[in-house]
Amino acid sequence: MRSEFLSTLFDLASNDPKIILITADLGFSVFEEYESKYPLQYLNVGVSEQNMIGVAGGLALDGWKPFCYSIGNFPTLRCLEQIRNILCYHSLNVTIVGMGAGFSYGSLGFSHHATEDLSILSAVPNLDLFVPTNSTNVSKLMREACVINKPSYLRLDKSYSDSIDVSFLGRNEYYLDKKEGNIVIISIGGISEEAIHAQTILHEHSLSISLCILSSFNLECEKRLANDLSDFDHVYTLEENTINGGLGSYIALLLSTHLKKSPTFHSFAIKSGFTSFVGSQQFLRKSHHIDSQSIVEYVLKNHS
Amino acid sequence: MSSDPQISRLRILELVSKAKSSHIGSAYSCVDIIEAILSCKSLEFDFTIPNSDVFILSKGHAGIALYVILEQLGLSLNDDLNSFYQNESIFSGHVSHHASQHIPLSTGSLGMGLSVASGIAFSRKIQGCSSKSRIICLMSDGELNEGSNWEAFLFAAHHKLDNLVFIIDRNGLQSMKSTEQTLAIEPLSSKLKAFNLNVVSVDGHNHAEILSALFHSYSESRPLAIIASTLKGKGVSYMEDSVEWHYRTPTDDLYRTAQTELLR
Repeated sequence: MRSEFLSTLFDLASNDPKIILITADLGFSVFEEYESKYPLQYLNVGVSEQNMIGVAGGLALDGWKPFCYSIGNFPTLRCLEQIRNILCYHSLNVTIVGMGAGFSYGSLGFSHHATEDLSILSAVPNLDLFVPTNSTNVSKLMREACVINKPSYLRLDKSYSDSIDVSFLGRNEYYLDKKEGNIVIISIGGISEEAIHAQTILHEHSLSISLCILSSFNLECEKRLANDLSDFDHVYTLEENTINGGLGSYIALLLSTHLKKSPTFHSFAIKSGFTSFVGSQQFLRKSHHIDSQSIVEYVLKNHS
Repeated sequence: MSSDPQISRLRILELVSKAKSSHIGSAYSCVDIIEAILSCKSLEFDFTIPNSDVFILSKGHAGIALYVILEQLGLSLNDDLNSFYQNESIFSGHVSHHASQHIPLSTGSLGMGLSVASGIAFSRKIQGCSSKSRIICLMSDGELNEGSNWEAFLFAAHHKLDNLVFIIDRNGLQSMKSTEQTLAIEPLSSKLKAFNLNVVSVDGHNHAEILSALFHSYSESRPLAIIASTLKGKGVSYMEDSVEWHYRTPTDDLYRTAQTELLR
């Protein structure tokens, strides 16, 4: 996803001299070519995320369109109040780019696990979330973030599958692969690959599940989504994020708000808090029971 | 139109007492600084005009001082200031950008204004128009406890933002005790010099000294830090140099005493 982000950034920067990439001292061997080509549209503020957001706010007030880059929780939790008070309250045209969604940096340890950001940031007023599914919709989401003229958060993942083309999937839409049967799994972000894989395995067990993918919360088309979900008796959600306040909460609220009769509901999310052990993104997804195998086992146990 | 610090203080007294709000001491310590800057004919703070000068009040709890001085100077406010702090008012206790086009940034959480000011200054610098405008940020001394300020100092000095001015309202008090009893910031001037800022100390209640520092202390490639010595609660004898008037609202006899003193 990061290389898609970068190539889109090159394109945006070439067409608009007011696009500026700000990094908090991260991006070694990633941004050198960009910096060389657009030196006036690149700024490394050092390891100072609070200052990064403030400076981005100042630049935005003066007519620039900043992209603020760092990894894990650094561009979000470290400077959350600045995001809220400077960017969101003043509705400034800044995109915060968080590389390393979920357990992307699994073996680096807890400090680098971005596993609460969806919950926390979705609670901040006037901030739109842009969560690409795979590399095919990074460009579309980034370009949308660029033109909405308000703050946004772009969450880039390291593990995802390009097996489906969702290049059309913008922030305010959803992807629905409707199959026979009365089960649907809704996912967000790179972890959607686990839902896709589970769908394939379950098919081999003669169990058909439908797939729905979102790129954000607070969709304008919620009624239409709720209506589509009403075709199912069983709704599952999947996210590489805490169970508190993320996709699961959003869908549960959406269903209970719009549907007279709610389907059964189960959320695949991180339930058990911190772990003292580390591992790859795949290993940690499995440890937290949010991988394809965990989905398959649960569905088979409850539906066969 | 012009303004008079005593009249501004009277108007602050009137509005704070009516609203039963806090922070009169903090507002009084920076009235002279704000008046000197906003009434200066060489500076124009209108964020709707490209490359205008910029004034950011990072010590947002002194917002009432900024509102009143804008009103006194006949600069546009977006509503009637008599509604300060009341239900549905745009005039919040901490400074709000909804109040006027002369206020670019709402603050209230300390330590944030400097970074924004630095961003604007950086923008002007890299566009080659830094000589046309001054970016001025007023902060409190207690506010310097926040680490984010020091990130901004590093950034401003590193990028040689000589169009940027930090003014520190050095009244020596913060919200529980003095600054030196809470989290000592002295030697402040040495610290700021060590951060590669151009540091000047002035009497924060002397308009001429403030303006002289602003216009005659330019140092190429270095941001300007003005340490303005002030008295918290300046202008009313029982409020001066007192922590409690960070919080209390003067009412009844205390209101009348303050009014009498300010009318003298």
